Amino acid sequence: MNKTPGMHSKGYGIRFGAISVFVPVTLLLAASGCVNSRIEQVRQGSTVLQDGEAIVILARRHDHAGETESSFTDCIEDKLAKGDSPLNVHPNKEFIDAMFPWFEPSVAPLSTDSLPQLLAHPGVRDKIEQTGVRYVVWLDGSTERIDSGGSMTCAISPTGGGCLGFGWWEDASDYEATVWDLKSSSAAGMVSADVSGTSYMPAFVVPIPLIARTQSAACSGLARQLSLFLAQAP
Amino acid sequence: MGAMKKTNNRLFIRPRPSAIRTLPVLVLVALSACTHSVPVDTEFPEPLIAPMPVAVAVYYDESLIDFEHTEFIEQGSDWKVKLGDANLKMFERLFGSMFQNLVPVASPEAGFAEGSRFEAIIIPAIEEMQVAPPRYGESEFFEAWIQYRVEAFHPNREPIVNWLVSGYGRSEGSMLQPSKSLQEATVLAMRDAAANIVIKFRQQPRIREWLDQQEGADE
Repeated sequence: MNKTPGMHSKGYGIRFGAISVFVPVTLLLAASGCVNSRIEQVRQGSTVLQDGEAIVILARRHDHAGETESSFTDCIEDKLAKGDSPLNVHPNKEFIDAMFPWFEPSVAPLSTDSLPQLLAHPGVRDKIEQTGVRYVVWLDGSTERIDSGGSMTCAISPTGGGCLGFGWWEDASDYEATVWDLKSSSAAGMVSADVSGTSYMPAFVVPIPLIARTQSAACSGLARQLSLFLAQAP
Repeated sequence: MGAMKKTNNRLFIRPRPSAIRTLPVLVLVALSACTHSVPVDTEFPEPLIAPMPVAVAVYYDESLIDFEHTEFIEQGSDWKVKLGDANLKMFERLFGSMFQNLVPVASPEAGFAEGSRFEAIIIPAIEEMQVAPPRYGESEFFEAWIQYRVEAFHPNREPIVNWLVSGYGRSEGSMLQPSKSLQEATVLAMRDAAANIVIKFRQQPRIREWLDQQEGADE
């Protein structure tokens, strides 16, 4: 009659032991997902930022499909402004407000062919010069889940809980940064990042997430390449 | 057997099964029964445009100034968006930059009565609004769609234009601050409509004709 409680006590011991091992391992492995990335660059003209010149990072939102996440825009802006060779980055919200309504998503120019017409509107060229923005970097793309599978079952009771199973999912982060030179009203080039990765989550009592951080990798790769592309003049 | 039963009870949640089983349901009911209130308070930037060289009267109806929209969601929370005076701020900012001389009037009649002072009387109104929260497996975004009607009349009450203009905005859904996400989507929708009003109002054929008439009259 006393055997059952005894067995349960032992069970708790294994479970708490498992937790004490699994939690640190989980934390260590959580950041170790594996990603494949490809960064490409096409240059159409020289791009060097002179003193007093700035860039602005804007997200393409004209069709609302595959809209670039604001977190990705913020990440690129942050990395370019604070990296090893920081660039003069004009805050995008401030720029869009100053240029209102010309850079609102549904009316912003879609190609450099429209730039001369935009700059011809009263006050537009002067306002751009006031902001100091020489290059506009248009971000396009998003992170999407392209596949997933596996199964996991979790249960909970007043005395504890746990999970058992295995899950996985594959994410793809495809982004493109097109650089426009406002001074010459022309395209200066393009940098793209295609990053994919599969995340795994085996669960034996405690789920262990092995996350492939594709968006973060795409942000780092794209920002690194853009900072080389738009080097600040010494 | 009694002790065994007691152990089993403790392990297999017999003591208070109803409370534990119904807790998630109660949480869901509580969440689904509530109405999220979303106040929208924002400032609009000054449009970078040259004003049209005309004097117009503008009448802001009460329904525009204190507009509220409630979206009833099946099997989910309802959303009440309170635009408050955001519409008024938006139109004051837009029209103030679009027209060289803008005079708010207390009623359309007051505008027509003082017709000799103006080249047109403008009446903006909000026609329709829709919002949508994220839908599991379909969309991760809060979305807002808003439609305005802009009517313009000659001082002799003849209509110049009756124009519908829409704006759309969406914002990534946030589990922690859903109201903020919907507020962002609503502001983006209003800005989208505002951008279209600023740029496309003067491109309307009837408005171009009217502007040409004013220029002709000045000469």
